[in-house]
Amino acid sequence: MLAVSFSTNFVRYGQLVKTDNSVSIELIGKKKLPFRFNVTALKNPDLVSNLESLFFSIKNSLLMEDRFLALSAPSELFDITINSIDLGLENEKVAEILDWNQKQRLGEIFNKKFVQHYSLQPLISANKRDYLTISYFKDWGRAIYQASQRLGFIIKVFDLNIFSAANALENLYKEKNGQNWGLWCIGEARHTLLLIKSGEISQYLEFNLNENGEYEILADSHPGEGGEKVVSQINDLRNFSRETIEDIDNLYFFTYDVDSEFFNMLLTYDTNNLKCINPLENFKPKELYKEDGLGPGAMSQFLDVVGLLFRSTL
Amino acid sequence: MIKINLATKPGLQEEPKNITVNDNLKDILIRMSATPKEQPVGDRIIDESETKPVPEASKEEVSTFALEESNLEMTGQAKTEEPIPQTVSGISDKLREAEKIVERKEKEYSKHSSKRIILNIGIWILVLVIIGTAGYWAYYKYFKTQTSSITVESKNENILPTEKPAPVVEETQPSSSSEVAEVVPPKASQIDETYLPRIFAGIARCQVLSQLVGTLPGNSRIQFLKLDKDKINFLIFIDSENNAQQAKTKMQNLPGIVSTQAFYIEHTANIPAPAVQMMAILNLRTENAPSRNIRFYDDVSLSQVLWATGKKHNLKLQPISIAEPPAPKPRLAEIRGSGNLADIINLISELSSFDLNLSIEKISLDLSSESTLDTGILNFNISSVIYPQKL
Repeated sequence: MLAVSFSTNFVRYGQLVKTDNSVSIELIGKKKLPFRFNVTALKNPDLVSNLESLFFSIKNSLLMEDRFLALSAPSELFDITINSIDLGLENEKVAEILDWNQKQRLGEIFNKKFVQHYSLQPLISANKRDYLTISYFKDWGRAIYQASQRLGFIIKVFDLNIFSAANALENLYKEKNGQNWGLWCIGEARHTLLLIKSGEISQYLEFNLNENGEYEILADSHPGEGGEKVVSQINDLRNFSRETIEDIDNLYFFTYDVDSEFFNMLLTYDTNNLKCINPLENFKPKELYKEDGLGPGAMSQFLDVVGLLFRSTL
Repeated sequence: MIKINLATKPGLQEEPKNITVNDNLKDILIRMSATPKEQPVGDRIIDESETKPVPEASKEEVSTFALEESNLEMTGQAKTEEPIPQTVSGISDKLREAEKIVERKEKEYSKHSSKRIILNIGIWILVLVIIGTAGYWAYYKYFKTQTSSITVESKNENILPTEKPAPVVEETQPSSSSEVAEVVPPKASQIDETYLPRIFAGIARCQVLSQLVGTLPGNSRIQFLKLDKDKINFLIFIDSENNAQQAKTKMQNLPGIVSTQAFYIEHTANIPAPAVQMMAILNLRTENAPSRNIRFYDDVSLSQVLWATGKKHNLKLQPISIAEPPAPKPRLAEIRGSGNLADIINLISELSSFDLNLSIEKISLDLSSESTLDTGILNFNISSVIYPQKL
């Protein structure tokens, strides 16, 4: 399985190879993108050919031939909401309600979007169930599908970067993550935060840390949940030392911009439950990208790639 | 936790089953991560078909993306576009051929490129030797004859080394921090107007850096400081939290500081004094730099100015490294060396007062390896752009 994760300026990839009785991570790599992987890329008429040549160059760097692909893309390209629905309704009715909700939210562009709903684990005390709704422009799927098909790749998984990274942490640490934990991606343009409660996604947020010392929530899948308190504490980290991040057992952070001053500043912090980890620490890839360094600060950028490799079970 | 897969059908997804047949691999990966030894991962038999090259695509191997009819609608493949041949054999023949060509070209290229690299290195060494020799010659000429156009007024002798001045330097030591006294400012800029804002921005950067360093208490220690265009970030150790807070307030009130992205002060246990670390990311204001007339210097003259100024401040300076030979276009240049903080700041201040045809883009300071002996020596690296003469 070849795992490929896009961010705005880079693509990171890894290959997992299964033999008779073992698996090995053959390769972990990274390339600078010749174009920006963001909403403006959809307007580029050469998007498919750009993606195709990118896949081709990755394919050429593989140590072993592969044709199964697991992909992930930046979550900023997706609309993410969490809606509550009464328990006891038929699935068709639930789907209808969720689609209707999404239509109200997206308006005319609903038809241009690919929409999925995932049921989250119900809370025992509540008589409602939360559903995670994710949508993205169909043009993205079309472009990625065409580019990969031309090279004979079969797409097995298409995920969001931060969800994939959370998948890696869940598999690597399981209960050590705690009941409530989170994952914070220090993005180039904006920050993203995914919160997990009792083993299930509870909230997704996008936010900015302003130059005047305040924060601004840009997207919130579930307003009213505790995520903003975590964002507020993250914002405070810019100016005050803190022993722990409250309301959360562990907060992991990572970035795709390893030169980010703020990220490198955070690496020196001594906050108990604020962690940056190297997901490849105990793996031994035959070929490993080392140009950004080998410490957790550099290796954390491959969290989502490792998360995708864990999805090889599909 | 749910597993997102947008390569399947749209709409409401089925709930994941608790136990999946294919969990073998995940188990293995988890065990691999828990036991890092390079040992066989167990005796489970894993289906190897996924990684083996298959000559022809079978029906079972079609992408989930492609299989779902609704998803095909999503990707626009089902009706709107001609299906792209999916058979691996048809594609793979061409691909293999293409890959072979690419491989062959890459091999040829790598052969040529290694020759080119050696040639390039040779050319660069030659260029550096010429520039270095010219600088060295100019330095001697300047200090021995005192006929150079660059002379120095005496205002601030106490910043000059007094104990062990180099003989040559002593003989013709410029006696002030404000050089080029005989260089009469040109009546008009000798550089194209389009480049002037960048030069002025570079001057503003230098001024802000000087002011910022001026707010630091005497016994502070810079671990690193990076000024990159409109941003400055640093890690500086200071003796007390009180002094750090005072420095923070002073820095944030400097006219050249627009805003603070982060400013973090923490007492660090287990390290010798000064033990309060101050980390910050500050945004600079560079657009309001005062305009003045900029003089054009050719590479040799620039080299002279740098060499003389560096020597004057007892800095170890490497010859200026210019990316390209003289040309009627902006060229990247790098000034590197080492010395103590006050001398580096003096160098930077003087460079910004000389009205050189050079814009300071980045400045980085970091503790030199010599400073493990607590000598206070910093390495510095100034990235700049040299601008051509106005035609």
